Amino acid sequence: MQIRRKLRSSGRMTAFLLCLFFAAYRQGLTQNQTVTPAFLKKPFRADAATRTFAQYAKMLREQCGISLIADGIPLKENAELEFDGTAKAALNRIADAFDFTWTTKSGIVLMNKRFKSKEERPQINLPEMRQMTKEIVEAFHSIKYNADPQQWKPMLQTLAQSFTREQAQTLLEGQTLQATQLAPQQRELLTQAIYTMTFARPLPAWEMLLYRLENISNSYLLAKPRIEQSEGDEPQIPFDLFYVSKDKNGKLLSETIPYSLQPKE
Amino acid sequence: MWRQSLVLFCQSLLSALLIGSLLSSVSAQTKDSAATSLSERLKTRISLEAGTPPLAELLATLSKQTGMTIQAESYLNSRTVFSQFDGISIRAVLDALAELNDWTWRDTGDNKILITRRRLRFPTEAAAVPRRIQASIPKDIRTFLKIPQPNADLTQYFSPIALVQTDTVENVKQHTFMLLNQVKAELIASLKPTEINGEPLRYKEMDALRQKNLLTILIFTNFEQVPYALLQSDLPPYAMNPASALLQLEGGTTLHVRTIIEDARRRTKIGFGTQVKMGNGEEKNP
Repeated sequence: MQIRRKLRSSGRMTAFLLCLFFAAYRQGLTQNQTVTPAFLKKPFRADAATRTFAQYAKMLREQCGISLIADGIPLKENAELEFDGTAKAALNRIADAFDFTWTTKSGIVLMNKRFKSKEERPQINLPEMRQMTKEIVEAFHSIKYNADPQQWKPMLQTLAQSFTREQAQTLLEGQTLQATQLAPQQRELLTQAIYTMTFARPLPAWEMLLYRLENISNSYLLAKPRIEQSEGDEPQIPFDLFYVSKDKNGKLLSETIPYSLQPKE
Repeated sequence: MWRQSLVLFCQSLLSALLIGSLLSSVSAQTKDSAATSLSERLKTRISLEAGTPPLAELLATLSKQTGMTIQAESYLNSRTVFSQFDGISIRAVLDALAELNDWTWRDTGDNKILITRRRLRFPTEAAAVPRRIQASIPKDIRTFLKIPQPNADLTQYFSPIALVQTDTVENVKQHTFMLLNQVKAELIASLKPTEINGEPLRYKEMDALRQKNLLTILIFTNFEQVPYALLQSDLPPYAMNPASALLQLEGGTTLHVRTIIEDARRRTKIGFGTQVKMGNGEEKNP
């Protein structure tokens, strides 16, 4: 009776292990195999001609039934390409010509800008930029540190003043002192100095940007003709361009938008 | 008497249980049928001619074809998406849109689908701040700034030192500088001679291209000012884990907070410091 029970339980265990093994094997198979979707193997032909990205996409749909989405339209208006191969080879060349990377998801070709071309730009939309800036400011505020970017210096000075004779001696002898060798209060001061140094400096610029984006409709540009050209060999535009906005206290802020006609290499 | 009461009690208990089970099965059936109807609707085939509409417009077209209400978080509505679909299920379209932009979508009930940005759960600690910043940035700008795909697993460390060594920081700076210069040039070229008179050119009265150029200048000028350790990598080790920081004194007066990284080729010191007056060695509280 006992033997039968043991056999049954070991049988169950074997079945369980086999299931586990089979599942792991299938997982391994799906991970190792990069299956090319059938539509990518379809032939694609086109004579050499200058076409827009949308025209190439339309041809891919007509000849190979390809559904495609791309992150905006490419800045490059057209490209001259000739094809006589598979849809996959055509996609490689079209993506390269219009500065995209491509992949597939659920039978759809996805194209993302790769920004290899110096001309290509990301999408900039006010609501999305406001949301991004708001979240960046929130990230900066998610931990505790001194908002004054200069405060890490007095913090380190206070820390140095608090060193015991042994700690000071270690440092004066040119040896390193590990944070773990500090007293809890000293370590807290060091942590605050590190966080203040790391996070406080960029924060005001992002807070200012958020305020500006929230009130951008009240801002303006000023183009003021230059009375005198400053000396130098570099060619200059004959006016100064200012961006005028207000800070959160209502104070008028005027900033030059610096521009040189001769871009730096 | 007590027997009668017991029988009555049992009868009412049974009735209550019966009604309860009936109600729950009805509610389960309603849920099931709602789920079935959603999963059926998600199989609706979509066909769309090539075009580059703003997202809100694309989603309105998809809603019309599926009979569902498909919307995105409002701040995403102005993004443009080139799209052409040829008999593709709406589920596949939503998955592809999400994958393209690092978004996600969910069923919010009542036949509604909401597209949102993918949100990660970050721990509330300083080490997670760069990842939170990076995850706030749209995917295309992340690609432009060579920001790695953010994830919430802080054990996968992206070293700021490695970034400098591979010239990534310098390349991004150069690329950003060129972008800013191009956009400024376009803005300047768009000014008519009559506008160069010291009179305000108000944002709300600008055309869309001029507004976009000005916005690009504001945004990318700010990106230029963020330290690369916050934008393109994780914090340096001393800030990632302050308990690992080392203190060193140089010249007898400059106290440095550092991490020292040694490998076969070089010894890299990374950190910051300032001039200090050392304590006199007396025991005291900081």
